[in-house]
Amino acid sequence: MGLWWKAAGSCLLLLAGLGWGLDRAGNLERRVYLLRGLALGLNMLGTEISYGLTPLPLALLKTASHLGGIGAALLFQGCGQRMEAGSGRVAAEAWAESLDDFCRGEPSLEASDREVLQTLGGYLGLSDPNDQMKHLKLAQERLAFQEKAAREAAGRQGNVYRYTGFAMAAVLVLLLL
Amino acid sequence: MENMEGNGRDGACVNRALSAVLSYLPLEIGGKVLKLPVQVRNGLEEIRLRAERPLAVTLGDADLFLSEEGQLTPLAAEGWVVPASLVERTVQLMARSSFYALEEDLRRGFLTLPGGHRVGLTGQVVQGMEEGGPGVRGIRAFSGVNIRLAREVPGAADRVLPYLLDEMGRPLSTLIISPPRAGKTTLLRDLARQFSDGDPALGRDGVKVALVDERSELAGCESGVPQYRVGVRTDVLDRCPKAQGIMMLVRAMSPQVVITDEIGGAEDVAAVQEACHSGVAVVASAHAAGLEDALRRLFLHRLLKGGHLARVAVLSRRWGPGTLEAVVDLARGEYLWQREG
Repeated sequence: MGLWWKAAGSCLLLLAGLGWGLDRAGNLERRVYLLRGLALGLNMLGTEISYGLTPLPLALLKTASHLGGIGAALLFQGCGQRMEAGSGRVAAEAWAESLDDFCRGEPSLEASDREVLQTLGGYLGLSDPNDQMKHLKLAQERLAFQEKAAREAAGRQGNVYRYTGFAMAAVLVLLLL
Repeated sequence: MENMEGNGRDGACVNRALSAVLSYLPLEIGGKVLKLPVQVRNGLEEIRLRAERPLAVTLGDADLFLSEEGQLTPLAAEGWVVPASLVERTVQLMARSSFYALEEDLRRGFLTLPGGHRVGLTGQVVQGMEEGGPGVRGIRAFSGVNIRLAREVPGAADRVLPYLLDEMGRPLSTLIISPPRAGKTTLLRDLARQFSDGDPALGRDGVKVALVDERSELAGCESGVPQYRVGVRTDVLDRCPKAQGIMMLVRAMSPQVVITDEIGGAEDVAAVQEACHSGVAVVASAHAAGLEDALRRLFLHRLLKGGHLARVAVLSRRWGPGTLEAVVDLARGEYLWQREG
């Protein structure tokens, strides 16, 4: 009977270790996916602003709609909805609040990713189409740079986390047996 | 159309108009306006924000100030001083943080809120090279905002309408002149409605009306749909320059009458003349204190003396906005109606 308990406990420990490793590796991949989605969203927003001259709240909501199920859509949707609500928020405030919510729900994003978006929020909608495009392009380039680093980190550290989680659990099991 | 104020019919419209405008104002300002008694709120014509100066409102002919507690006062010293940052914030809210989409409006110094409320802007002008040389590219560092509350007054055209129809009941080409804030836009809006709907009780058929609404003030369009009652046979070309708009409508919509606001230059006059030559009646407005003043303005002189128009209606604020002062038959050169005193 005692052997069965030990075997079951060992399995649980190994699974927990594996789960931790997969979760950490998944976070790294999630960050790549989000950064790509955010850059794509900014590109779409730029099109709405420069070609459609669509008012910002509607442009943000359209962008969210075009992004569909991509996680980054929530940022654009949140900001668009806050501005549409007529609650006395200007774009920078609505963007900052939405970014707070978005980052709370997406812990894989790093402070440096957030800083790129925060900086952009201060310029949204405040100038002519050419200037808006410059700010959006700059943010896209910075996000692309972040994405490249995130992809490298995911490739390099992803496997490390997966193996480390399992290996640490295995060591623990051996020590406990 | 004696007086567009205080006839009781437009109270609800004004409330609606004010509510719409308040949703674009920062709470610090909107809250003070909301503290005013309902009757005072209904009479508001303008709300003026000037950076680091007292918050002002126009009530009839009186320029008053709003105190910290939201009380009206004639004393500027008792008025609540509007911080410069709040003026900037107000403009951002009214522009819905979409300045890139409002370049043309900013170049002309105003925005139009949904519902046709015109918001005049002052600040630091940005100059640049335009087609014809140096010109205004826009405004930044906003320092002043003047919100003019638009209102719908059904029946505003009742008095003047009989003078603007021929013996068959068809609209005649007419110029409506007055100084600013005398009710030209409100009158044009009601004329559009009455021409378009006709009056079955009087056996007057409606006609096809085309509105060129360059600033979205006449029909108050939102996404192209008129928010004011401008008539069942009325087509609206929203936010289109007048000169181009008049000709586009004449060619495309076969109207019987074209209505437009504030003729402002030789190009507009040429378009009005062209439309008149095409067999379409044109009803337009222009700024002038009276007929004599209008004749002193070069481009209006050309229009009034060119034989294209049949009538001139003169408005003032003597007995409130929309006071009809005179109606002139241009062909005969005689007054059809003139206010005494």
